Amino acid sequence: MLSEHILKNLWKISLGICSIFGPERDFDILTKYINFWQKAAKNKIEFSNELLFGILSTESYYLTKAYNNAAEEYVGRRCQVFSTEDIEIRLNEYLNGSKIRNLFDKKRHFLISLTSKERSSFIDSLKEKNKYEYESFSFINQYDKSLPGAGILAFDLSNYTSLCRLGAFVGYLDKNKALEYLTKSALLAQKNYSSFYEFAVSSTVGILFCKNNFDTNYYNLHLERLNKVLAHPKSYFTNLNWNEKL
Amino acid sequence: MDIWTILGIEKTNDKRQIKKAYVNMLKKYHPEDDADGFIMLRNAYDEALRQSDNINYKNFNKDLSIDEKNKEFSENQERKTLVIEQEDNYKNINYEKSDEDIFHKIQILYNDIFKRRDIKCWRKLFLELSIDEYSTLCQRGWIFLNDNFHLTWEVWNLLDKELMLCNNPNFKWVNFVNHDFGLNYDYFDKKQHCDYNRYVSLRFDAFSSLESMDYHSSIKYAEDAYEIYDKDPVLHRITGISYYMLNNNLKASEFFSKALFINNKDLDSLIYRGHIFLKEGDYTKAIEDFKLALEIDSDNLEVVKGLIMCFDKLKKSRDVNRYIVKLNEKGIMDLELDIIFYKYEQSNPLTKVKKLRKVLDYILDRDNPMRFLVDMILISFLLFAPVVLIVVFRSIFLTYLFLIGILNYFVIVPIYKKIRE
Repeated sequence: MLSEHILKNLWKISLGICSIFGPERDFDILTKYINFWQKAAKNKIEFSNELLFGILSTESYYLTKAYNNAAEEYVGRRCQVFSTEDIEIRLNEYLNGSKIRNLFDKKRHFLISLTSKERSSFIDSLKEKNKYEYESFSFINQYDKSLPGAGILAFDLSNYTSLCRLGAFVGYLDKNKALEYLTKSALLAQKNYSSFYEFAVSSTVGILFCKNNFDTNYYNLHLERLNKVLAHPKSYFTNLNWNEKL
Repeated sequence: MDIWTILGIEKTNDKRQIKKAYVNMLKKYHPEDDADGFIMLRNAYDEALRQSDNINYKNFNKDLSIDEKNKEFSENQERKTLVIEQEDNYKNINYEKSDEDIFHKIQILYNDIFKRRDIKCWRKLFLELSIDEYSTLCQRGWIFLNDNFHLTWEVWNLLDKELMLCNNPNFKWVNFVNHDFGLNYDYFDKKQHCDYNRYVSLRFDAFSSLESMDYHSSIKYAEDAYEIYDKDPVLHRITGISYYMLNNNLKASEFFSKALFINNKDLDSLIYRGHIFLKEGDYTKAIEDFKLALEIDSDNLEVVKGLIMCFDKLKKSRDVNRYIVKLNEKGIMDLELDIIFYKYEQSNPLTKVKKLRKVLDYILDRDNPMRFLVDMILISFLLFAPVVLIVVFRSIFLTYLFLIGILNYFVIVPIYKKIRE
């Protein structure tokens, strides 16, 4: 039986495996231990910095450098975070709604207000007029019923989680502060979604929506990631209970 | 100058278009600013109407009986006379009084909800308008409609055609002209005496709140509306969607069921309720709803997707494959369906055979640069294996079997390659 403390912390960090950052580095850690979950159940696993940051501790210079570069690239270039102040601002943005999420919600709610027949006509009418909007609305319409009322909040929460972890790794956030922030996102996730599956799908929908007019390779990359986080025997999502008391 | 050039339109026999063109050109040739221009415009208008009468008369001549032809012609003459009389009195008419009259007429029509929803009443109103009234309405109708906007989509379309509402930057309800939000009045009961005006207003508030993602307010307005009238599937749908977005599946399902009780072909309610049943695990009911929805709209992706997910949960792989193949043919990429497809592919024994074949192809491929290494490993194995076997098992029989295997390698492989070709 996992200790409650470790269980809660693992739950909180698990949401980050659906972010744009990807699950690969977390899986490097999970697969490093031969029987990670069995050991965790016997309390033989500590909630180390490695797990918190999602960055494998290694003695290899090259691997360490690669991981550091990936973290800095995500935090700096993608999230535009270069200081402690920046990270606070960016985290609040994720909680209050990123531009992507707001745009998605606005378009989704317009579609919801139309009748089914009118929705199809409206989307078809965009085909010749505006290819970008046609693809955007078609995409949202495709996933409308798969998403709960919160829409792609999962996309913001998973990126928020990754930013907290990596922000702590590069030194912009204190570890305790990071855990405090992670608790917020975990509680929001539980409130708005009913399962890891729903959360993961919603987050991936957000990722695909970000890049309008994605090609097959991009789609397949994220589909593969989604399949991995949902089905891999060592994945957080296959070993934790969504309704865990946090 | 040609009459059609003066009016600013192509030659037509559509009286409505001619009338509209006349009203538009009145802005350019106002009688008080340009009397000569106004006379020229007026003459062009009269001539255009006369020409359109002749065309219409010829077109319908063969279809109408003598009496009908005479009746239509005399009606046209009366209408023309009326227009001429009104135009002769143009300067004597009090412009403000004309405004009051026309808006009073519209208000009467608007206040009666059953006339308001009837497009024929609106058409009749426009036919009976004088040129002055029509002109006033074109210029100021938007002011009335900005405040009195509870209309059906069909009526909005008619009003937009007549009054060019969407071209007016001050007009607030362009979206309601361009899109059908399903806010019809089809289910109002004339026999039931209730305050439909108030009901429609509350229903609109519920709809607006839903659109603004304020689901709790939407439900509150809907509850107030239900106190007035509770047999409208449109309101049931709005309420159902609000509860759905709040993840209250039980309540949402209740309202969609109410909507379907009144109108069992309500596509939206079927789709939503089907997805609720799917989420709740009641796959049989979900399939029923999706199949009914497919009868209404056979290409609806949401419905097909819902069906596939139900069949997957019920482990009906044949049905899953049938629908997934259809979607793949259309090139549709969907995360949830691909997860299901991936799952089936992994558990399919044929997939394992395919993987084994891939490995064999790789090993036996003469063009493969790794082939040399593979050959060396195989040869070493073949040379030393018999010795090892004899030592380990001390059995010539096993060694004999192994040598047979070596020989087969030079027979089986070529045959396999030939089959492949």
